Amino acid sequence: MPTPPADRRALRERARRSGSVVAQRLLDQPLRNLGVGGAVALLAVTAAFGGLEPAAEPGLPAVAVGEPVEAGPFELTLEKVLWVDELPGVKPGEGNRWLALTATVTNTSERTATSANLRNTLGLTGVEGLVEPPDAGTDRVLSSRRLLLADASDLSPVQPGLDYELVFLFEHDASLPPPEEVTVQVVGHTWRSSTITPDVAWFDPTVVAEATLAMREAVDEGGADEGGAEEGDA
Amino acid sequence: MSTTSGSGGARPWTQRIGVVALVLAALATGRAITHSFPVEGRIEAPFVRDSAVGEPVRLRYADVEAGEPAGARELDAGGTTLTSPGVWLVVPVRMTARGEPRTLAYAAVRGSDGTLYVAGGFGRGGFAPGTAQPGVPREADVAVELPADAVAGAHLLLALDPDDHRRDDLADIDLGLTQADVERWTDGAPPVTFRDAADAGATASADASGDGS
Repeated sequence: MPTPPADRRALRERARRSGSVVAQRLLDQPLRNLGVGGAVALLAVTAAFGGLEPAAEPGLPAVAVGEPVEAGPFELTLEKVLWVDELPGVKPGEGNRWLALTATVTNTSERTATSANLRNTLGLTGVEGLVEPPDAGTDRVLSSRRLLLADASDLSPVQPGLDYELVFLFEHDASLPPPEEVTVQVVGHTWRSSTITPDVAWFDPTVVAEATLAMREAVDEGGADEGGAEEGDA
Repeated sequence: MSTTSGSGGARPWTQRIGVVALVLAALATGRAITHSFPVEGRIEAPFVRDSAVGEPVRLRYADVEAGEPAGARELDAGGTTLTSPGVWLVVPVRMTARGEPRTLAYAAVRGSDGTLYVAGGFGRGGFAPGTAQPGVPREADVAVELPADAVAGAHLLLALDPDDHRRDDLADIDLGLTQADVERWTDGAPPVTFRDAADAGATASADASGDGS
């Protein structure tokens, strides 16, 4: 609402009596000049913090099979991706199959990580027929189970400094053909305090790498699934 | 109701600037003091009670004592064998609650590398002692996997709260482990057993000492 003329005059009078040259000058300026000045000041502040730097190119770093990827708190090395109707002792729901992604995972932080931290660090995108809903706010579906290859136990907790060879299992609708390839997203997090509570935890999920891997059926015949997944058009 | 409208109620601008300057100076002084003499960490630090294997340690909420640790590549947990890419370390703990029922909810091994390997309440290994009644000794195992090169010189930490150890007792127990222990455990030692928690005398007969080392 514009300032009434009487108030404006009183304001100018008070500024004059206060002896503040800055206040008098500002009141003498038309509002348009003040807006331009404010915009220039805002640009100067953002420039000081890199706001005028060129924007980063869209797209994610590609990751190849066998190549370690840092995704706080973990380092992941993707190996292969297979599909299988069931695994001994680990059956999917009725009418479903497993999409299995094997990887080596190392907790490179200085603190024990949880199963939830591990679950949040890897997902599939663009695969039709996955049973689990996408992670909130993304189109990324997280794994249903994460089992150690050595003993088929659920990996929880994830202790620092140990190289775990494990399989991420994604439940898939068996009435659909298995996908010929899947896109894997590797998600990193940052260890920081919550802005709301006193908790300190892994926040700010950020996709740090992406790979498209070819899918094969898992078979028992010796060596048949060797190199089952190869790097696609990552 | 007082009014500041008109020239009579307005403070001179020099006075206003002076007030602002005094407030800023007070804030800066406070910041300088807390920055130069950081006491927050000391005020909130736990009361660490040092001990060693076989030596009872008196905490505010319980008396605790760690037994001889054992280790191996594999852990026998309720008939399931869990294989570690590092070493399983199992420490039997005896605790007697003080004053009221207590549930010790925090156990961790601080490796020789300074890293904390926390034994969760469930999952692979862990520490789940349940509730100890006052005056009734209770026994439970801590089972943690950690890199072999972090074992020698490791300490066991025990506390009441799983997350918040501020201004409360925390037991820091030197496990007395050496490189010789590590070499023995990683050289074909039989699986070490992880027992369920129980009141003393009712503990399952399974021996938690593994290869006896």
